[in-house]
Amino acid sequence: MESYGPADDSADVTLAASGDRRAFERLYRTHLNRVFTLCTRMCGSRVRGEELTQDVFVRAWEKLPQFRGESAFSTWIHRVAVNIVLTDRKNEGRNRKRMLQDEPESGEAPVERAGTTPRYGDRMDISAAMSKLPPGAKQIFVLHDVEGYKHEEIAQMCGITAGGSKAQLHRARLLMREALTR
Amino acid sequence: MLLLCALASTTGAQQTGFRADRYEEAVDTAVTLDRPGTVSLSIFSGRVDVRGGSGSQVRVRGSTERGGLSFDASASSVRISVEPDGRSRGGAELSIIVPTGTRVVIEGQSASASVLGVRGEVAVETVSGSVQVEDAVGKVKAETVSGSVLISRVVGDVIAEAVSGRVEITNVTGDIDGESVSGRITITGAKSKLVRAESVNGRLAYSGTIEPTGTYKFTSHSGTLTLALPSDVGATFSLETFSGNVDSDFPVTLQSGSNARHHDNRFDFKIGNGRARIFAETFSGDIRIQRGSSRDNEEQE
Amino acid sequence: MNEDNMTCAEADGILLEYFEGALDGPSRQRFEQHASSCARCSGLIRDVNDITAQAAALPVMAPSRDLWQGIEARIQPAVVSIGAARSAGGLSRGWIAAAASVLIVATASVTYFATSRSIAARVADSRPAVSRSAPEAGVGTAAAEPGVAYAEPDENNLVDETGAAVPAAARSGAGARAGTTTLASGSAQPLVTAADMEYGDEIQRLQAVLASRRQQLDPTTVQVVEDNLKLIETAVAQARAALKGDPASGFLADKLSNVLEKKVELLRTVALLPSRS
Repeated sequence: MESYGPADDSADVTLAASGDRRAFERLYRTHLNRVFTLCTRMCGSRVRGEELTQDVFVRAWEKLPQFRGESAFSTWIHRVAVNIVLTDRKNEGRNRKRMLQDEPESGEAPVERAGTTPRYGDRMDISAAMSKLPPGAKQIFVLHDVEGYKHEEIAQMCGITAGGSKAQLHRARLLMREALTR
Repeated sequence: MLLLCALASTTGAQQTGFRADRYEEAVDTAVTLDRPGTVSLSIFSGRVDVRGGSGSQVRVRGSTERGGLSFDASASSVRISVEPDGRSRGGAELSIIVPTGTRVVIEGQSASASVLGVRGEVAVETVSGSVQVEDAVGKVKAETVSGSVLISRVVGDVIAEAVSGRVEITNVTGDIDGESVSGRITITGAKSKLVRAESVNGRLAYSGTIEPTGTYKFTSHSGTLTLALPSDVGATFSLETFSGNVDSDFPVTLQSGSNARHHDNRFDFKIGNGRARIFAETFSGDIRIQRGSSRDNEEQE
Repeated sequence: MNEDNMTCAEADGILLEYFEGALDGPSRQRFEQHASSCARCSGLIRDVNDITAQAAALPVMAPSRDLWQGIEARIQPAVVSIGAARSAGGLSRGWIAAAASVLIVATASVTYFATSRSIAARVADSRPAVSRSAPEAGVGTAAAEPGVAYAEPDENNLVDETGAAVPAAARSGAGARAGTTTLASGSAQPLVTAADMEYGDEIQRLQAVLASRRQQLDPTTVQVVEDNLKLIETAVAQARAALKGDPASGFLADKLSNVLEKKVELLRTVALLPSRS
């Protein structure tokens, strides 16, 4: 159950920033699912998503003293999450391609092993199609169409231009369409 | 258990070892490990040959450039490092015998390495040297830029990367991941559920079993892909190329209508029970699917 | 009837702008007019809108287990600093930057920043050759001389690790059509695609690193790298040309992306090579 209470958050943020682990744990519980969802969708794997989620909260703990409250804590921790996932991808540039196909992203849809999905005109559900996107395209797609970030925000978070974000999104959507309509 | 460590003196006096020394300082030393562990080597240039032996000793013999060797040992690990330090360029020629099962890690720059018969995990990374690994158990990772990578007889997952050198992966039981830019990648005798081979210009050739639940992905830009598959293979194929030719011993059907709007050639078809997934994608490289066994003369419908 | 009926190919060319709502009145009219009588295009539009709608409706997920313990274990009070206990079995003075180290190769005007897999792994590893810059100093204070330094990535500003503006070629400024931007360098390849947007910056930076490090690197290796870069560049040009002829092809966009990625990987390998002396 999610409850975003900005007032609650700011009290806990202040406490956590000064070292209160209990307060940080409350923040964790409040924001866990959204962070996990973002990480998992962006990287395409629940297992990796869980690992990245932990990295996100660890990083948030380290950086909390720097959080100046100009944005909502949820926005801030989302940015941390995006940073962690993107940094992970860039640096795993070689390693990530070792995953032949991403692990299935399951949860709200039946588990569909991307590697064994038949392409005979059977309709693949959207999460299976997403998991087959190349990492860069998938991330932009997740950030824009799933999470609702704007191109300008994505551009800033990912270090690309807004035009680049639009182009990648377009490509992602076309790839998804190809995957879903074959 | 006590750790025995006997370092040969390196006072600089010329010592003749058991073979002609390429470098000035001879090395002949042995360390006993308490338990199976890791032997790590870091040399700049030259060559390292590691072999598996019985017993619990790590025996190091060979020669190094003057003053460059450092040697660290603990109960379960040995670290040998020959680095450039102004006086020496970090050159070494070392023969090392390690207990069977030892994990071997090697870094080199213009150094070649071979790790044979150790039956443990291996990780080798070099730049302009070649890598040869044979008879390993567990993860094997071998990377080079301009040398070749030869890996054979492994029970475990293999990652092999070269830029211009050839990559040959033979008789591996485990996941296989091979990459090159212009080097040829040849995978034979594979028993794997997960194979990925990718090159830009290099030719890719695969022959091995196709496991019912396996996934096999071959990608190149202009290199030819050749897959030699058992006649009784059961797989769903996805072949796609922009301008390459597709040639298959198995019947291939162009999926009707799907590419009317695009200019590439795509073939999706199923053979047998179709459970395995095989992907072959090129830009201009040809794709060849061969029926591996010549004994089977059964004609497909 | 309308003498300037749009063709499917033309429609493909402005599809992106249509979805972004960036078409001017007349263009949009012509586009919609075409779509209303074209099953292929209207099908495409419908499918993409479907995909977008489904994406927006995806629910929040929950992890399979509580992750707190793993997090708690890593936020212990003691500050772990670089240079602390080494992990057993790691190479003590390996000069190849292994996965768990942070390496910045700094030159006079460009820094390439390659960071490690995860913060925890980095912290647990030690590289005596790596010195840590002031904590939280941000990447702008990376060493100006060639050398190796460590800095924290700053999640408040991911754009460029030097703090400098992204190179001009990738930011052509207002008026650049998304997906088709003329490169400032005036190279023979005027079409810049999504993949270029994705990799362009990093490729530029890495190429600058290669140029500045050339003297330090083994000449034979440099030759091999350059030969292979040429091969990759030929492949890139071919893929680009093909994509230009069929901009809506996901397959070709993928092919281009693949080879650009190979280029990045190769350049990255070079950037992290040890120096000769």
